[in-house]
Amino acid sequence: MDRAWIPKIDRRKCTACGDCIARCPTGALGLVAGKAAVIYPDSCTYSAICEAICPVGAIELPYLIRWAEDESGLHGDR
Amino acid sequence: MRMASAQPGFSLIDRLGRLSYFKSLPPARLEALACHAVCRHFAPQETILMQGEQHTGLWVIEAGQVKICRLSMDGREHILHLLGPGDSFNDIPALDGGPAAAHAVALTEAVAWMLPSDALMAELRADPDLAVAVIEILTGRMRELVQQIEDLALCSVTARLARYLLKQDDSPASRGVTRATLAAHLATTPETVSRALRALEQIDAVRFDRHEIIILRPDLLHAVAME
Repeated sequence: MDRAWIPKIDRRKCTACGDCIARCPTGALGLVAGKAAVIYPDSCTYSAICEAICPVGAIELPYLIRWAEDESGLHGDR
Repeated sequence: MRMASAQPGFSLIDRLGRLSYFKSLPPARLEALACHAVCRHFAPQETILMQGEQHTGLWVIEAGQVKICRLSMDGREHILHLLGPGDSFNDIPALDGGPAAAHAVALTEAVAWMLPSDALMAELRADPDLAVAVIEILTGRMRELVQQIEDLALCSVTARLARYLLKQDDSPASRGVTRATLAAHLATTPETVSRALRALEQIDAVRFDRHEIIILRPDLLHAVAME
């Protein structure tokens, strides 16, 4: 798992309320040193529930925007 | 912020030569210009320069992502540009000596070079081709800003998002964008961005694949962008 593509948790903002840990559908989150953290990155499915539920906006999911490739491997019609 | 040296394999002269600004300059003049450049390293979320601050110099990004933004009186952020390696910023103050027109903040670890205004102006005075290149860049920026004003005044968030997606290429600045960043760029909220993305997904213009937002149908995005 490329570590660039897991939820980013701002430890300074995190209040350790546990909402994201409780709601993560795959149990990818846990507490590390009293703050939420992605403890099983391979389990993360990018449901974005943690981002939506965090009451202090401490979690963000980075996305890669890319163009679909056609069967010849070229970009779609721009 | 700390002083930094170039990353292995990086050539400032090559990078400057690829910037639209300096395409007309021969290698010797690029080298002379590069001698004045100062390299800086920034941590994620570190402010590179602040709106209103007197900071005359042209910045060129070597590595990482930088957002150019303005803050409203109530603290809301509007992102004007998301920039990556090879992009420049603070162009206007570098040329007119005025204060910075916007904040520049590192989104990731970033390395950037600052070319002092006086070195830049000396080259401009000596080279009419360079002056013309700068005029072309500035007029392009002006058209972009007029388009942004039109987008904000007349278009729905979904249309603005479609326009934003259509402008994306495979540059590093397109990587790692968050809903909050998109919201700040489109002058809306992350929740509204989510709804707009869902709307585009429902018409099969885009598809989510875990962390990827894949543009499937540019024609549909164009249609939405024109709404």
